[in-house]
Amino acid sequence: MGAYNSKISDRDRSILKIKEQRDKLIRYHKRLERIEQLEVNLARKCLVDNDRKGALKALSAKKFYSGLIEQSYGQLGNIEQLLSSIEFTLIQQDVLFGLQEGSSVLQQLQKEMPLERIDKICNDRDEASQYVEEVNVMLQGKMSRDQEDEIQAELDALIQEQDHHPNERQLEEKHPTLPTVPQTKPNSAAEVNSETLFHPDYIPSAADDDKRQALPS
Amino acid sequence: MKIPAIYNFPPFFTRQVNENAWQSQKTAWQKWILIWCREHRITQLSIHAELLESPLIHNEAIHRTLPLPVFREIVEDMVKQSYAEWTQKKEPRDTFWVYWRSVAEWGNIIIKWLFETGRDGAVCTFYELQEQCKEVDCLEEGLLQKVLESLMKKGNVELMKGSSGKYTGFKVLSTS
Repeated sequence: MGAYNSKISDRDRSILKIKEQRDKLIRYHKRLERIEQLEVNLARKCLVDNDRKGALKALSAKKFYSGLIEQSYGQLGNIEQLLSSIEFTLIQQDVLFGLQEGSSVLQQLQKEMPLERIDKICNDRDEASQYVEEVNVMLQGKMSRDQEDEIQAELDALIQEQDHHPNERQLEEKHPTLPTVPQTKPNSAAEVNSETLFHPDYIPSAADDDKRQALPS
Repeated sequence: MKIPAIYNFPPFFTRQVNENAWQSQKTAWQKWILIWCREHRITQLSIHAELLESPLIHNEAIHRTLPLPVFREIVEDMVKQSYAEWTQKKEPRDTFWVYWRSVAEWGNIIIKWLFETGRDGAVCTFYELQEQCKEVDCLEEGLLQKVLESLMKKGNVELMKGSSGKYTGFKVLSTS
């Protein structure tokens, strides 16, 4: 059998001792309640037998036990309070430990990020972007006035080209086509058939309403 | 509890000579004992003369009682099939636990209760367990310890000795 690593601390052992005391109290309390009940039953029995003295004696015994029960309630309350405050303190300890760990991790991370290094990195970056700006300006400056004029002339030529040879879409936008006006009056019912019904120029008139029939499905 | 019809059948209380009949009689008794113990939440029985007055083996209505030696034979069979277990290793063996719930099932009930009541990582006494968890308050002392020992093997709890030198409590180990 190998060595068994007990996960039980001294703290746990003390808690167990306290809990054992509490259990003893509860058992004692239960016993007292049972005896109290017995005394009451005895008193009742005495009354049935018309034994007033016996009943009185039983009732005074009952009163004595009731007093003990009251005391035991008080002691039980004390122990329960002790147990819950121990539990709460243990939890508080855990929380504190967690905070400690967290803050030490934070400190370590900050150590790896020294402020001077960050400063240096930012400065390097600024210098580099400044350099790029200067190069841009210089390159733009190299382009002479003439070249700029040439580019402008090219652009003007392109615009002119578009004005003289407009494509269809540009035409449509300027002059949209409208449908033609019909030359004849709308057809009467007698001449209406499936051919004319679906002709694009066919416009049904109200006069034909009652003569209209449902199309066969 | 629905009492099986065979309980009112007089031959049920006489050991059958025919081997097949005896086998099915034993099975019927096994079932009856488990049902009866579950109904009355009894986890331990003793083969004593007192048992002769218990409705378990004594049917007043038909005036029949199962003889104790026959009862013992049936119990031996139950032990072989893991429905019961002797509490003592040595002869004479009179007391036995009745497993209408297996040790593992009892263990699971306790674990479930421990986590549901937030006792994860806390210390708990046997008394506290049986007072607060009504499901297991019928467990006989020795059986309770046996169940908790099985949980210790699985790594769910660790038993602790009390001031009396015997195991009186345990610590609930976190599953993490």
